[in-house]
Amino acid sequence: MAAMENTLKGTEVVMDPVKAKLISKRKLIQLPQWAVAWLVLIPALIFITMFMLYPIINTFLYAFIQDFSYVPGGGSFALGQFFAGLNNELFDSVRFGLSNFAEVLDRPDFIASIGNTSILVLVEVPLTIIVSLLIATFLNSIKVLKGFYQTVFFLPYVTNTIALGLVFNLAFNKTPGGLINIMLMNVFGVKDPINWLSSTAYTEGAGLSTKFTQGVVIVLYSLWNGIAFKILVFMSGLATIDSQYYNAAKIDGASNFTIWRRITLPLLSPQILYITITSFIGAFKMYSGVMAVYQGAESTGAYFFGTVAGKDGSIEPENIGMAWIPVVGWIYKELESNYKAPGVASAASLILLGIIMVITAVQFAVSKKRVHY
Amino acid sequence: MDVRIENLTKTFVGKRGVETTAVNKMNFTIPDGKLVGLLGPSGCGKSTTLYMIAGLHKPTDGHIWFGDEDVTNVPPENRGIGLVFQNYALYPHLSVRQNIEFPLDNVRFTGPYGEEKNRVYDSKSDVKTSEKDLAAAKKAFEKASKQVPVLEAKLQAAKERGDAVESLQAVEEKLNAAKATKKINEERIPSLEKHLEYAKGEVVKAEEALAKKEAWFAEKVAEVEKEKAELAELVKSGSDKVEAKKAEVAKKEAELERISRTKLSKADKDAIALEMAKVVDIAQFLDRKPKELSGGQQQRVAIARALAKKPRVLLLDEPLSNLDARLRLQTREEIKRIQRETGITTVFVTHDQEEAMSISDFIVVMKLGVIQQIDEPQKVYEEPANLFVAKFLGSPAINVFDGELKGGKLLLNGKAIDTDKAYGKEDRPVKIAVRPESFEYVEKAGNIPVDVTTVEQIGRDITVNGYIEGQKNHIKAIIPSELRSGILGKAKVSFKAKRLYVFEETGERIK
Repeated sequence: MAAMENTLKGTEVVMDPVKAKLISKRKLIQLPQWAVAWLVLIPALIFITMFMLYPIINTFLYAFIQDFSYVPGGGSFALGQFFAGLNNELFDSVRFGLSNFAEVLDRPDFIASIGNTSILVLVEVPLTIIVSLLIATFLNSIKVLKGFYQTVFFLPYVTNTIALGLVFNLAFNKTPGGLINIMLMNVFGVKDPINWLSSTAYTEGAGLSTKFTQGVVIVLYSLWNGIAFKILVFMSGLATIDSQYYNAAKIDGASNFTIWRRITLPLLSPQILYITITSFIGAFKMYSGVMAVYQGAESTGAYFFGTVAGKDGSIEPENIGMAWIPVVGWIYKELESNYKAPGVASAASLILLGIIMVITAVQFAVSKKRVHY
Repeated sequence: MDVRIENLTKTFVGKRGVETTAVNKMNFTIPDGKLVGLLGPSGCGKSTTLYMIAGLHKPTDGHIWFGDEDVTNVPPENRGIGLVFQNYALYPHLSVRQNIEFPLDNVRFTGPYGEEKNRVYDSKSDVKTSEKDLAAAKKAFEKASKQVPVLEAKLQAAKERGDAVESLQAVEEKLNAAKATKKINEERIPSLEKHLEYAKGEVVKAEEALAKKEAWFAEKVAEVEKEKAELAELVKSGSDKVEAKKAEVAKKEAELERISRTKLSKADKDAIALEMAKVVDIAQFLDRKPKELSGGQQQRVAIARALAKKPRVLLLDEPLSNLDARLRLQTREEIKRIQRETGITTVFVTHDQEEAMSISDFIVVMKLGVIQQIDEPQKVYEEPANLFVAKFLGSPAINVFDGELKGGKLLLNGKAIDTDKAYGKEDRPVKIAVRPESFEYVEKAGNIPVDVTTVEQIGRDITVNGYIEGQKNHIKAIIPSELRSGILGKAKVSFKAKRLYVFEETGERIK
């Protein structure tokens, strides 16, 4: 049987009714199927290679080359320039080693950023997952106004990260006029306005924001931002649970809580696993969310992640914008600092990769026992 | 535990107020330890009845008694029933053992006087529910009573004014609806009041029983204390009866322990699960998940789970409809065997008359929410109470013809048949029904002439398909193979009816 041929036609084509053959005004180009496949894939492949594959390989190389130095103006071809600058004594003078990693781990601000990210992840991810699970269960059990509530809870998904950060920044304003402060002072009877985010006082003698208050705002922001999608996934999962199981469990005497714990949650476990894994991965890479909350408030520097003043109200210059700096923020900041930066920054990102991989592996191992398909 | 259904009614109100009566004033009793089948076509209310016995649907009217306890207002988990769903509803993420143990995990208030506590709780909530129902019925009655004279006056005025027919009709409809509501609630109120009295009495009885049991348990505890004190005395005096006494005390303490546990221990639960698994014969699959079992095995697990809490009544919803034909025969026997071994009163629902006939002790034939006949299977088959029952039972279906009674004789197409019996004097058209196997081929002596269309030979007997002249229904007759020589190849054959049934045009049996 003749191989299947695809034809690329010229621009003008005429159909011969008698012979039922395509006759083109230009010459027919006959190509085998594999060639057509490649032709169609090449644009996408170019993009993926340029913007994903090459940077990843680049990063690995930067990280493992000792004393990598960055020639200004080279851009993405720094690697090539580096090699060029060695005057062709390539394999002699390039040493691969872990010096970048050692340097990274030696930096206290990097360790602090890992700490910051870990705290935020460990607080935010479980909180968001539990809240969205409860809301999804609630939505699944109401009949009246179900569509209305579904819309309400899905709205955060369509909001813009930075815009949302602005809203939170304004809501948690340190003055008595800030929305949250109004609620706290008038509804809950709190006496003084709380300074949530700022390192300057709102009035003489008023308090300064602490790492804790700033952290609360960041967590609430991430919660708001994150629940919409999770609720969607959980609701679709809940809808697949046959209602006969609930009837059978009722006849077997189970209370509503027992049903939720022993029937609903286990049958929802595939969705819970998916959400947990992707949430942890996403949360470790958090960056724009943390930055959005502060809105670069008190410094014109781009990488501002909060400032915490000392006990006497003084601020060390190197602590400006470093309060809640996440790992990705540290990497970005590092990239701009000096000519040796790419190596160090790449090493840091590989360390982040390692942490995420370990956590994901642990989650998969746990899932074998607890997830039922 | 016999199950008594009293005046059970269930009405569903659909969209725009359209009412469907699924079950209509049913009355019957299921004797203790019997296997009863609810049989009927789709939509006859059999599943609804089953779910009302289970407690998943609340009856619109009527009562359900388990023994001498009215369980109409008792929630399903407290009734002591086991229900096997049509699609088994086995929890897919639990193993077979965990599935069977699931109801045991939710056992409430066991312990020295657990059952009595249950009873007090149930009877108190029954009182609450009856009071609510009574109040609602009274309110509805009063509202309707007020409406009736108002609407009557309105109708009168409209008639005098000479209003259009449609508006007159509308007012009349409302009037009739109000009158109906008034009448229904009028009838319900005395029965609800009676039930309230009964429920209050039950509360008193239950509390007495609880107090008695508590006293009994306190006695037992005191007894053990006494024994322990005696043991201490013996130890002090250094007597040689110490060992024997120790053993006695240990035994009594273990007994006390067993009575007063409030939860079943894991070992107990495993033992019960193993016992149930052995009864239904899936003991070797205890650690598998449901999806690793075949359909028949899954169903047996569902039965085991229903039996685990030793229910008073076992309910099965279309147990065999999800199985293939071969498995059906096998599982039928299994169900019969399990029921006989455990002796539990069992009710099952089916639309397959062969299934119902083969395993039931009694069959309840239902049509549109009304019981047609309750009898042993063979009686329902041989002595149908009406035409519906006769047509429903039996495969192939019974043959029905139009005939008439004239001058005390039964005539088919003008010819007299069944001359041995004398029928009543009234002349009227009737329906004659003959089962296929009741046709007799006697050479030259038949009085029912049949125009043969086809003859099927299936080895054991032959099936003659044909028409009787003047009848619109075709006839199917099953004749033993030995007589085939007289039938094969003939276009016209004459049969005699060994046994026939005569029904009124409306369907009742004429004896």
